[in-house]
Amino acid sequence: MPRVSFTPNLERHVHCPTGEAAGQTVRAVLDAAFQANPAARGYVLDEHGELRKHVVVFVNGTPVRDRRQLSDRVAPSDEVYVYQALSGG
Amino acid sequence: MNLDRYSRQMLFAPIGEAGQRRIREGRVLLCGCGALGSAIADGLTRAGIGSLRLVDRDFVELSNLQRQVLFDEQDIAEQLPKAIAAARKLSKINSEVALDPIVADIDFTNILKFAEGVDLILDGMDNFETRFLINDAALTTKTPWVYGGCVGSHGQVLPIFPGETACLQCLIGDVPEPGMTETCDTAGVLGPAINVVAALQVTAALKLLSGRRDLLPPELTIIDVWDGTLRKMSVANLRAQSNCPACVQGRRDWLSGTRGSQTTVLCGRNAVQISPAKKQTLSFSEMASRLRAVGEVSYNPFLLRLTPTNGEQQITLFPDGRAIVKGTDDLAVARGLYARYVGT
Ligand SMILES: [Zn+2]
Repeated sequence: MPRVSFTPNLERHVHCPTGEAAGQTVRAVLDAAFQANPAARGYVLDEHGELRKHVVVFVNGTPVRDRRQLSDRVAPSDEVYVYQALSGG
Repeated sequence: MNLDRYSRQMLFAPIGEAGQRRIREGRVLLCGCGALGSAIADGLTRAGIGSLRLVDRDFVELSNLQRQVLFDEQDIAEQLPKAIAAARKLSKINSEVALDPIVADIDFTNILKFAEGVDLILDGMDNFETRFLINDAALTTKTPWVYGGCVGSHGQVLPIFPGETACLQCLIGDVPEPGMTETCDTAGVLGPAINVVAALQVTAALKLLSGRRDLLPPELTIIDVWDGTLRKMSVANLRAQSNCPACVQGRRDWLSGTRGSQTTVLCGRNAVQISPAKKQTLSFSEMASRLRAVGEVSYNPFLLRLTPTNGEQQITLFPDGRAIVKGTDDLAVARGLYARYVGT
């Protein structure tokens, strides 16, 4: 199963530790991850179910192309990383 | 030019004497001299760059000293602006570096002047709006810049080569809506996380200034000092797939002043109103639970009121993101508080 990690500040803020989530597309994998951590959804997706502007999803270290439908394919051995930009400094 | 004091850096083969001579010629603009900024300024000054222009809008406060390495209690007693306090300290560290401290709020009217004649811009800011502005200015002047951000134990760094590699807006399409991301004032920040991010930014600067730009791949580095992790994400294809409004379409929404907070002094009320350019729908219950750590919070369906424990101001926030900061008529102070607690 693909592994899903959230950017550390999100991980701590809404308690979504790294875990495995079933699915063959980014959408399916995220849906599965949000089932375990419903609070994370609103921080990652907007009201249309698209990626929020300041969020990037990387699959094996490369940004996904389809930010709206989240149709990029995910293989069982892949790592999905949900990145959120940081404002502090 | 006597380079003896840089001997340890020159012994490092990838820099060598030739690299050090180039570094001595390097001209850098540092935007922001808070936590990241002071660690960056310290690193660049010790490394012996040619000139450093540092711009910051704030004064040194006691809660800065936990992580802002250039400042001390004396600076607070003297009520020094950060740019001035930093330059004083830096001039004692390395008098060979030409320092140009500027106390100013960076905005669309002044940033091009600050960016004039520099080889590189480094980001020591604490908010997205100014970073988008830096991004626009860097694209316009074709100046490389290095984004750095930090919250909690977590940080990120991205070197940006305008017109060639993904810019900040390729990565982040827009500033987050208020309340969608944590800030150092809601989630805290660790000195070590700041130092790692600043070290990565300074390293990028040393590569670039010493003539080894080829050693800076288009990669976003993500670190967490609490987890002990460092990840690299490729952004090589990001520009091609982003249709970026700024670096692909050529728009300069921030530099033209079309975007950015509208800030107005409310006459006779010792208050400043801040209206974000884009209207929002804030969740007060979410915001309140986060802000309780920093002060007294009360809210009803119409407004949320925050009185930070460590300040004299009071922030009243409306559901559309508009805020009134009471207790100051200083635009920069009000914008700073908004960035800190509401978080853009
Ligand atoms: Zn771009």
